[in-house]
Amino acid sequence: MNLNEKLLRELSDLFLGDLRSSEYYRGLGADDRANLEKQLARDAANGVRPLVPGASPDQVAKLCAQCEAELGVTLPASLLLVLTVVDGFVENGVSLYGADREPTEEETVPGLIAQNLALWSAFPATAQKYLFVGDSELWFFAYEIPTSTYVAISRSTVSPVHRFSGLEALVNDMLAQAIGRFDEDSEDTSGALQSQAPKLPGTDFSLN
Amino acid sequence: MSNSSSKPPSAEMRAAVDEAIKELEKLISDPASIGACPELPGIVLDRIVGQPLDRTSEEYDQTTKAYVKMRGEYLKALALHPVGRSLSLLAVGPDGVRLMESGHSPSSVINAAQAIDQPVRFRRQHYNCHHIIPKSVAVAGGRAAINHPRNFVIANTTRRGRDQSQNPHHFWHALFLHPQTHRSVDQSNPIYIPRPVFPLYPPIRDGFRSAEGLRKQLAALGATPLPEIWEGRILEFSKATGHKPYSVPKQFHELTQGFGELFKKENRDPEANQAVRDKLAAKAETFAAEWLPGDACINGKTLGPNHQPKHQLPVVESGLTTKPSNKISENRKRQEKRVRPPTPARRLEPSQSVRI
Repeated sequence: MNLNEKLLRELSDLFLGDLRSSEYYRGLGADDRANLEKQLARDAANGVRPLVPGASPDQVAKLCAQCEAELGVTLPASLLLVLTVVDGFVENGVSLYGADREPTEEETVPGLIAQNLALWSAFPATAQKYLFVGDSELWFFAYEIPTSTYVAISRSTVSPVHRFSGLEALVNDMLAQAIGRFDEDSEDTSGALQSQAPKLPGTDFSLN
Repeated sequence: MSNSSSKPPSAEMRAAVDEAIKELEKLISDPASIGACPELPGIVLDRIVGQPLDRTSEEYDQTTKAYVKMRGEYLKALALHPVGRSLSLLAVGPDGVRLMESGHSPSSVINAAQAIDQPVRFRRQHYNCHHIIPKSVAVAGGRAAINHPRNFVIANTTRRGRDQSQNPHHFWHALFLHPQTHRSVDQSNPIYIPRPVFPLYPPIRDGFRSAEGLRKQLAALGATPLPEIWEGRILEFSKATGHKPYSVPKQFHELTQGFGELFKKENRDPEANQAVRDKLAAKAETFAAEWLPGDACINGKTLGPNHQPKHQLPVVESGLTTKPSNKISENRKRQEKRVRPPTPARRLEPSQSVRI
């Protein structure tokens, strides 16, 4: 399964709309606004989805090294690949974590390392068992290290409630939740934890 | 796909939001209690008697599904309620209220920036809607109240790197709720729930030193004036935070930062690692005990009658164990896709508020 390009484009369009209708944008001077629009147009011309870019190879390499050093976790190849397509997003209560920024840089999405340190400290039993990759109002989303699978974890009980067929299915589900689009092909489920990854293709587990 | 983003919330949901606002008004009588514990201004401990649910139970599953279906409608109804709208504008600003009107969680753009040779990214302030009494808790006779506006709060969840100071929900969950609920027991116990006395938390983005300043800011936002009871609460909250942005207690940040050392290469030995992990878990337990009364149960153990919490948060019994007057039907339609919000017509005018 691939990431749903249509949903990614929709998210980018929504973000552009939010930016242009924001107090911040309307408060910009004419020159600053024109410059920002020029930069956004240049991103689009370069094949980057405006405001939903992927991480650069340098950023991914740095994240890998930092994760190994600070979390003691080797990042799965599937996650690295997805981050090159979409370096995190936050929308409608749904967050996909991205590459952490330098302390001097402004962070635009929650950083993967920072979030795992915060969540592992809050829920010590999850440390080095789950690599958290995102969250929503109802669930955490994580890579379950012992089984090498991606799961949804209840925020209330901090235990898994669903196992995804792969990271792409997970991210597609998060995108559908973020945009509020729930009529894509679905990946089941009753919400019960499945012992094996489902074979069905699909996007969302969250509303079935 | 049908699109009902512009569909107004039902009368049932609007009545439920009104009930929630009125219940909040009754929750505390003295606004001064908002600043009783400056580390958690505007928070009371709501004592309920309940029992953690089995996560595989049908009740748990139904509660989750019903919440997802009603959440968008709740946000719309809160943004339409006369008091709810004014409180929302103060807490999340016009950008956030516009998103609520379309049934989505509020956020507001802080800036858009571009590092050298990098694409443009934008920074936003984010808020999520959360259950106050967790849906994993069964309250005697209270199921109908779990998925009800009286049990929802819209909380700031902004995270900046390792800085969780703007994420009060993480703090409430990690230090109060999880230690009291994650070890299932066979009997009902007292559970102390951190309950904001506002429908959105923190309730303000600006500090207000006077009722006049608050009223001017509301007028600039195009909001109706707030009833006196809410004015008093807002002013007390602003005073409790020193008219500065609310930040979760510093000790909690230190706990998180301490954990960051655990997985460095020098601590990779499994035994040493486990020892540090145990020590930090105990530290978190001790920290939770600093806030909770003696009959609270942390990790399956009651603190005991001689326990005196270091921090004195007001304790209430909200009565959420009883059925709400306006029950929300659970067979609702799903939340639906957002359409682009209209650009607001008005521009904010400077006011006497203190930007924080």
